[in-house]
Amino acid sequence: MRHCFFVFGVAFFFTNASVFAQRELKDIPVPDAEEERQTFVVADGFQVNLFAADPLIHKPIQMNFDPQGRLWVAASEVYPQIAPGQTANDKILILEDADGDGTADKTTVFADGLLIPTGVEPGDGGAYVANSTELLHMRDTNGDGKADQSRIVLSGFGTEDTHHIIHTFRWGPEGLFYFNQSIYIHSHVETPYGVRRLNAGGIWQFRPETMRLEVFARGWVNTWGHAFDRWGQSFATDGAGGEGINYVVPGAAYPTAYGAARILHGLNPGSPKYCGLEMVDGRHLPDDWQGNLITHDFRGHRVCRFVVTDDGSGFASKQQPDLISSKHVAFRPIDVKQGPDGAIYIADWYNPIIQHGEVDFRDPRRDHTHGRIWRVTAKNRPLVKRPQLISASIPDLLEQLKSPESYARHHAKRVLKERGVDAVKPELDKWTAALDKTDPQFEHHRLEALWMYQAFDVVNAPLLKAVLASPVLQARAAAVRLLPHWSDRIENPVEWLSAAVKDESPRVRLEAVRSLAALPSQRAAELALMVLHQSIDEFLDYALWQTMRELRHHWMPAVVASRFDDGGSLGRLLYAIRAGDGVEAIPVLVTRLQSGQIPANEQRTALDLIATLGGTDHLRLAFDLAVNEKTSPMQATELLQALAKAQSQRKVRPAGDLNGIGRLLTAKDVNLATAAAEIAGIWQQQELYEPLGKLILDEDRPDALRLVAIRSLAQLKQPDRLTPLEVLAISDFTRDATRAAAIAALVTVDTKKAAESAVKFLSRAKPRELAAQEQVYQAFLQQKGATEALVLALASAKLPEDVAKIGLRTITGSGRQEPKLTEALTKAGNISAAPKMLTEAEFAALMKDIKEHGDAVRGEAIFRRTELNCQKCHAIGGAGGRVGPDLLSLGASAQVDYLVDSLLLPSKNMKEGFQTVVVQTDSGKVLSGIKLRQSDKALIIRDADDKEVEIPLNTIEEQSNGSSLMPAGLTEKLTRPELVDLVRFLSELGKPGPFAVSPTPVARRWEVLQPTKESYTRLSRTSDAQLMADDTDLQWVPAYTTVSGHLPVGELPSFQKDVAIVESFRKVAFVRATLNVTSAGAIGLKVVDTADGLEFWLDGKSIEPAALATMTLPVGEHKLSVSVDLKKRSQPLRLELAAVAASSAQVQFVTGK
Amino acid sequence: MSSVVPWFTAVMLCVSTLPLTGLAQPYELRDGDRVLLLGGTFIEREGQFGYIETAVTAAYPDRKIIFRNLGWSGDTVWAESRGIFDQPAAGYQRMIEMVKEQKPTVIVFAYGQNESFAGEAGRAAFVQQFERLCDDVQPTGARLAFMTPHLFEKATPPLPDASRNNDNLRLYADAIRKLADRRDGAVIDLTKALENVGGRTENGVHLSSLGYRAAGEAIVRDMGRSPAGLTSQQEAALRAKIVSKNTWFFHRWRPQNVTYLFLFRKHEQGNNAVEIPQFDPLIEADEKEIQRLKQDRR
Repeated sequence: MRHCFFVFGVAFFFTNASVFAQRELKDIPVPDAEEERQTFVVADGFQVNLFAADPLIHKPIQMNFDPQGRLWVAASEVYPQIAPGQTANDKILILEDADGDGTADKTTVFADGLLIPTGVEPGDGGAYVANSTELLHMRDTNGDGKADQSRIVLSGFGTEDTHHIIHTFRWGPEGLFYFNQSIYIHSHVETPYGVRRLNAGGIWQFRPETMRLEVFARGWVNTWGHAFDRWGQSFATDGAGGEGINYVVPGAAYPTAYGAARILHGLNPGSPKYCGLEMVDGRHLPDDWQGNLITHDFRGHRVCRFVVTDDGSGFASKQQPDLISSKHVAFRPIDVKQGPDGAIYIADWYNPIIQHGEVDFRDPRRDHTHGRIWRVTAKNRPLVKRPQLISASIPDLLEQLKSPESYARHHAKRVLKERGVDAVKPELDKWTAALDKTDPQFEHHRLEALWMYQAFDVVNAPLLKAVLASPVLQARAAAVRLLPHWSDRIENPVEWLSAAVKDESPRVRLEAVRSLAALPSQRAAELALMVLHQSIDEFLDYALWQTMRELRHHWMPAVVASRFDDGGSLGRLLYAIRAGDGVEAIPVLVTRLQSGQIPANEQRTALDLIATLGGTDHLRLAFDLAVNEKTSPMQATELLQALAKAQSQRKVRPAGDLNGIGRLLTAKDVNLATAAAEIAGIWQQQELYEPLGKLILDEDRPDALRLVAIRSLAQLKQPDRLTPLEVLAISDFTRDATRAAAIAALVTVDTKKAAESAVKFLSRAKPRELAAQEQVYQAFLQQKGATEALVLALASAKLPEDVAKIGLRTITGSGRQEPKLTEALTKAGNISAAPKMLTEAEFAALMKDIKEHGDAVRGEAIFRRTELNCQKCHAIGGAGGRVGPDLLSLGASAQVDYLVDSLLLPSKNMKEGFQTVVVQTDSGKVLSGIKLRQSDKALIIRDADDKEVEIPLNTIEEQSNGSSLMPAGLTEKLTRPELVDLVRFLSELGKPGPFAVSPTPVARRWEVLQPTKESYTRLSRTSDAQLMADDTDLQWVPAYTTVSGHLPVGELPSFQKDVAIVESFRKVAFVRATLNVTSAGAIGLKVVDTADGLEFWLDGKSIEPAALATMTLPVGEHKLSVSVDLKKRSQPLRLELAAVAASSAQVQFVTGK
Repeated sequence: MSSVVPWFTAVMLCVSTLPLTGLAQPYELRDGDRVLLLGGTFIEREGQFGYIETAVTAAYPDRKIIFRNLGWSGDTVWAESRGIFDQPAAGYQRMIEMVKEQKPTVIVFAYGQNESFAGEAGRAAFVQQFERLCDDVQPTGARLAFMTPHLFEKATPPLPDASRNNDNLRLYADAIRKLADRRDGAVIDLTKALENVGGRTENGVHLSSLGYRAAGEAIVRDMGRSPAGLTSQQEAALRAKIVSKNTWFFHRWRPQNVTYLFLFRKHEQGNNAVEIPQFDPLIEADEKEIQRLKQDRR
């Protein structure tokens, strides 16, 4: 079964679509701030007070402090959409707490007349303000507190969605201005340097005084959070993504990035959506809070905390217990800032209704007037004395750069910047020279000085050189990042990085590689490749790949002309060619290969590259090697696969006669024979028709090989007689899987014959054998025009009702409307006609039932039922399918009526990032799935099977938007009480309580060993240990824990005594979880409650339960297998990561489908 | 300003240094004209500043002339800013359709500035595409006018010296003049008209209010019209109304949340699209006021 499929016993449909969304939300809370505060569950040792609320403020969207300690707030009443005749009159407010008592005592309207201002950042004598298409700078020149000048700084920002327009304004530690845009935005901004364009999401970097505007990083859905750590590293959160904290590599692309061939991911996959981000530090907060990141699960009404630590070139991020959680439906924390007193300030947008995609723009319950700023302080810890920066002398301001509080350092730099370079530079020179080298913070102080020079854009080469050589890796990394900004004013800047590419720290190497991309030259590329001398991890590999692509035009000609210095390492050259898609470099490789200059250990990579990128003559070399008897089967297989890719993606094949492939069809090695069978079809080797035909009818050959051969045979011209394909398709003696494959293949040859075979097969199919039926239906859906033949063949046929329903469901999974086929299947399966409409009264009664009688615990059990298949498409906390949105905070964000609505009419509400596309290719195929991203070469979609499918752009003939992949009209087989329980469960997800995913790292995705013939045989002939040590021929399928992180053992398929596998009376199940270690070291696992009835194997080797508490693991994936003795154990299994003191290891459980 | 080449009128041809063949008839704005403005940031911001439109409107107190501003920041003759979720080519087609829907009698193109960054190497492609654009709007039957880009200024450091691009701008301006000639269109030569106006830009690139005002005055003069003679209050009132009308029109043709209103998420909030045509009466009401205000000589 391929997609989430709910069926209900009672048929529900609605009479009026416009009344669905959030109509259940009738209990609008009284907007009383104290009542709201009372609902807060606050972390131990902390307290919350109200800093400001309506009418002082309303609808805060973004806030930033200024050096005076005043809080600037961007607020919008117009959001989500200006009405005809309405005057845009949104405001920028300034809140002041003059007496320092922790509550605002004055509000000033700094600016009004704005249209949905989504960002504000004070600076340069006024404030930068987001005004839909524009970035404004507004100033108060007459001192009345109100802006009287407004200047368009930049314009041309898109407004395709008003919660995506430019936002998250920030000053970086180096004085550059950063702001973000979200996924639906397309911006085209004219600057003195030319037009800068950014399609879809990303972070901009801007220097106002020079108007230099660049893209800092790209991607994400809603990057509503961006924060710098004290060494200048960037982190981001995504208000509609699910990967938690993102470490931002300069110039990198993240999920959804427009046109990106490759992307990086966040550090906490399986997270809820997070809004806002602040790095907190300073004397007011406890030691273990220093450098922590604070963000908001705004849908789940929670303020969350993360700790990030070094992990190779990147970072690892671990969630901590919440700072605040609440059940108040209007508590919407969306921005966070640490204030001048060291307290944490939280902007609460205060709205029972979030965003405007699902709820009507004009819904009367949408709140336009309220809003709060909360202030969180640590109990019994003194506040920080608010620094007096405006009146301070320049030397005093410079001394503030040594402050332990980011607030003071940050704003001192802002004030210094505005005092002007002429006044500050002499003092800055003196201050820098006088820094105390023995101070433990000396390296950081010196970096702050360097940043101050950068803020003024005044080159201080000796200081830069000194920080590049700092003993502190973070300082070196920051200096390396700075270098390109001064490259036009220092001599031979590329060589300044020659040490950094060899640095002992992977972080410094990563920064060096990225900075080299900004110094375009052949030498920069040669230097960048030197990082391959040392270990490479995900982020560093990405950085190097990206740099080599960006520098392509600077090094590729040198490779072609044999002028490129690869330092004597062919591996470097191969890496570069692969990263840069270096088609023109292939002849160089071929020459080297033919003259014996490529050592044996590199030949494989070289040939693979040649097959991947080469022209017809080059491919011939790879072909000759593949069919050479002396070539190992494994290498021959790889070569054929690369050649197959060359044909399907680039439409290039080896020159000359290719029949030599026929010999390999009978190869003993199954993989090789399969690769040969596949390519015979791809190349349409008509001469191989007979051997392929023989192969598919030969039941002694392995199934996997025959299935591929069936596909290949269909790509050849068919003779005018009964073909082997038809034989397999028509015969009731053919096994289901083979027959389905044959019918599917026949669809591409002769739709009429295929349709007749299909109807013959389906009319006698058993409903339980789903996969084969789905494959048949899908084959018709995926071939242009084929459904018409199926409709004709169904005209006089009868199908079992459930078999017909599988067809209907497969249509839904295709994201397309097929009214004729739907009608034909409905008739052939005698499925009862249109579902009953649900009246308003019936709907109200259903809502009432869910509220009063719904049982979330029972609902979770229904959700987990195999036949409903919810988890095939939807994850909770990262564990499960990724075809549909992760549901972990669904209940906290969506109202009950919306949930019912989504279950019954899924196409009505489709989430950002889950848009279905239907693609027709030049070979007549029709593919559909969720659009993930598009590069310059291929469109990447996730199909209903949760597989990423790459469609070369040059094969796409047509592309359109499809409907939801989730089946509509889910109206059978669930009883009404079951529906009530299921919706209740969904509505509890993410709300504080048992259905909120806890931050403790726990194994949520398991795999379960299936009791197949092979595994039974192995278990009876060998031992548990042998079974765990060797994976060959075993079938493991995913299983997911409950929301609470427990794997119920009662549901597990088990091996039992009555099949006579073992002598004792035994009932056992085998499960395993996968750990991904990204930094080696000691890690600990904890089996919660008891390990009774459990035995463990780590990577196939037995391990005592006690030894799990501390294990030293190398980088890579590790499998922890567990046998569960079901006679001894009935309590569920919960496996947590446990802290190991002083360990530098970084590890996560692998999630996903 | 004597070097300015006439815009909507050929009266000044005799003093022009450029041969503008094909403009045998006096070229001026007529009663009932619908003038459509196309271009990048320069045109888009004119909608908010309103100086050019105010000057020309006031210069024809007795004729009803309306303006529709379809400027889009960063735009080029390829409609590179108008693709939204599609490729620019699709945005280009939408732009052509929108131009036709507006039923213009005059189309003013202000292109060449953004394209000029490609230098000599990009000029031929620019001209070829511009020709295509002219062909594609031909079904409207509108008279065509071509604004040449204003020259950049050397701004105060640390702003970059944008005037380094001026040789390119002149190159493109020249190409546009020749194109206008081939197309029997008028030339609005802002390259020359503003050349000596110091402080015409805010940042070296984009016109300041002074720059827009100067552009408006130059255009009116070169149309052979006399300045309207409005008091500064009268002019301010007229300009405020023009800006108001342009704001409504902006929300009408380029509404926010277009994703939900008209595009691939319209199945969710497309019902709110009924509001968008409700801007039309607001635009019409402002147009009436504009007609009244420009005649208001009290």
